[in-house]
Amino acid sequence: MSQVLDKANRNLVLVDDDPLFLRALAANLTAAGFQTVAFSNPREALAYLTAVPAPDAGTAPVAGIFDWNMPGLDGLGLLSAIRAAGKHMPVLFLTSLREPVYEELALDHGAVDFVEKSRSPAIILKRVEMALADRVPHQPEVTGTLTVGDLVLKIETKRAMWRNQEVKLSLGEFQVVWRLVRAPGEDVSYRELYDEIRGIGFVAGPGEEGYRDNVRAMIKRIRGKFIAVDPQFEQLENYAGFGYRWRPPT
Amino acid sequence: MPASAIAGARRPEDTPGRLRSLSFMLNLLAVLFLLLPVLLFVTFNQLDRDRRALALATIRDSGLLIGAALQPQLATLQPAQFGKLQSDLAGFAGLHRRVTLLYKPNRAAGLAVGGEAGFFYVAGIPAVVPGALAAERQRLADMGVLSRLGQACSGNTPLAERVPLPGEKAELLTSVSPSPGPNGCWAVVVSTDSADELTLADQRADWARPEIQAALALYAAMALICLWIFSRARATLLAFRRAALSATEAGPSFVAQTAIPELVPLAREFDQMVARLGQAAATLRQAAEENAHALKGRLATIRQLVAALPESETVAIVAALDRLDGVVRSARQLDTATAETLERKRREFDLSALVEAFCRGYRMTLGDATGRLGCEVAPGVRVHGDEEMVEVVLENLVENAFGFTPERGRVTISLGREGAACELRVADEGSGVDPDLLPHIFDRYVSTRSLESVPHYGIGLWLVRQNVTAMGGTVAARNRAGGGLEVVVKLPVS
Repeated sequence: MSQVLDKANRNLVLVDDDPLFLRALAANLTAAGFQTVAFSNPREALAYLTAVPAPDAGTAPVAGIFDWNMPGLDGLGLLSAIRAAGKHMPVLFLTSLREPVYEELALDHGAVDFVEKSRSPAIILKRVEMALADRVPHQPEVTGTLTVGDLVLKIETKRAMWRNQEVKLSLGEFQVVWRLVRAPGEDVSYRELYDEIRGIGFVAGPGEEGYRDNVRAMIKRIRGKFIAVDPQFEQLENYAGFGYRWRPPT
Repeated sequence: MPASAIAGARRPEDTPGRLRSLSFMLNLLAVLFLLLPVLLFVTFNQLDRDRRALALATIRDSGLLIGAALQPQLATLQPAQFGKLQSDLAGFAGLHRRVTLLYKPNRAAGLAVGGEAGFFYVAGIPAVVPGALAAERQRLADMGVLSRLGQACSGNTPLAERVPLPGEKAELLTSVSPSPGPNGCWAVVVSTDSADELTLADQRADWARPEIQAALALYAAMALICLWIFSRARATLLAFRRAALSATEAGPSFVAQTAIPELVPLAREFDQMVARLGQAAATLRQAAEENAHALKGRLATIRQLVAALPESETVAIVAALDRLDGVVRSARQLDTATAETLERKRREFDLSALVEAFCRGYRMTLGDATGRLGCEVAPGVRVHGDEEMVEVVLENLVENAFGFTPERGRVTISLGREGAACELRVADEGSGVDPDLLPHIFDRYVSTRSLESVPHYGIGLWLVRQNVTAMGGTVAARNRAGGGLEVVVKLPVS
């Protein structure tokens, strides 16, 4: 994120295997004042983005808009590949996938936003602008280690240990656990947990409805991961109608 | 309330009565198994008693007959001839029979008085050697024979008295027959030493026979095997029930719960059914995601294309696209919810506590308006299902109710028991629902709200019915007399 943005440089790289959508999106973005380089083949996009020597500063892409499902190399693979090649431009996913797990994966791999493809072009435009404004993802301000009973959270490395075994949590899952164990026994509402998830790296979310379902789905995944290392795990308690709490250690 | 006003009503299925339960049958069988030996014992006992009575009567009669047979000879017998009585008596010998011939001379005859009643031992079967006479006298005295023979030398006395003798087997005195002789009085005393067999003193005699004992052992073994088979079948069925109640792919397998080989194919079939359910859920989920993905991709393209046109010409198209987008999203959500209900683990839980907690939790989200949610919860109502499913039911019903209720209106949740079921009611103070629409409010894509308001695709109440049905319950809605809608969820209690 240290890239210095040239105000005049509005080059976007668009990658989507649907040429019709790609053309329409490129046209709308161009109409909105962007320059676009569009690829319907993700491998070609990878070659372009990691080309040596890099394009001139004035024409270098400032952000990528990737589809997720693409033959040969999916959006996530493309993102990983360009990050591995040392490219740190903001990348925004524009996809019709809706499972929260994709959002989390995208975030974990360094995407700055995850926008539903079928939303109105105006909203998509707004989100692209916000991504370019280089919003720094929300990070916990606390550093160090938080220990609550058998749980140890290593804040900087985002690692969670339960009874000396690592529980592999995604960033969003870590964030939720961290929010809950900061105040063991305190009830945290669905809304607050939802905001906690949304806060990370995402400029805005794909709509408000069903936020409880999203939180529930995530809590279920977190529970599953803890139970995988400890079948006796039951620290995550539901407060029906309100949210969840982390049972304080006895 | 007209029948059409009940939405989603379902006839409760008839359940077989307790009298047909395996537990009842098992107890009945145990009682029957116990009853048979008792009946047989009573019958055997009666037969045995009759047989002994018959034998006793025969012995007694034979005693009297011996007395009567001897009487003519004794009536004329002179003391000089007493010696041949011993050999005459030999003709009356019999198994276990003891005959003693006593003689009491008349006082007028001037003979010395013998024994306490003046009787002398003359002959007997078995014969008593002279040296043992004292012992024989003692034996007769112990039997009380001598004291029985009164002064009068007449009258037969049939007896059936068990006489315990010191140091000997008990004797049964069967008859004492006095008869007059020329110069005195005779007494024929008949007794048997098989007293124990005839006086029923030893009632276990029949039961002690090896054949009976073998039969009893066989019977007991049969009864035990029967009861064992039954209780094993019952235990297996109960294990099946447990497995069925928590049937998920991760749950216990039916085959592992089966102790009866004949049930293994059935158990395997159940396991496969559970596996198929899991597969169906996964397929449903995947199809939902893929369908939504495919549709949204096309939608996205149309949106981008429309955006290039002048806005004034595309308002209606954009509205239609918004609506289509909502429908696609709802369809995906509904299919995912259906997949969820297929996979849910079920367990028993305290519904009262859950509803109470929900009320507290929901009031917190209401902030200052906590008074708008009323709760009347009967304690201790337990149901079998999934807590999260019930939470989703409550959430959707309460949210729907608040959506209908005007500002400051109240929504009331109540929970009560109705026999084998419980009723969870959510009532609002809104305007109710058009009676024509009432039976359909739990269907997919039916929204009772105006199309002009926030897009709403009727998922909530459909989800309510989905979850309630998955827990074996029913849901219905009716317009309240005082205004507003009441949704009634009935769930079987555990």
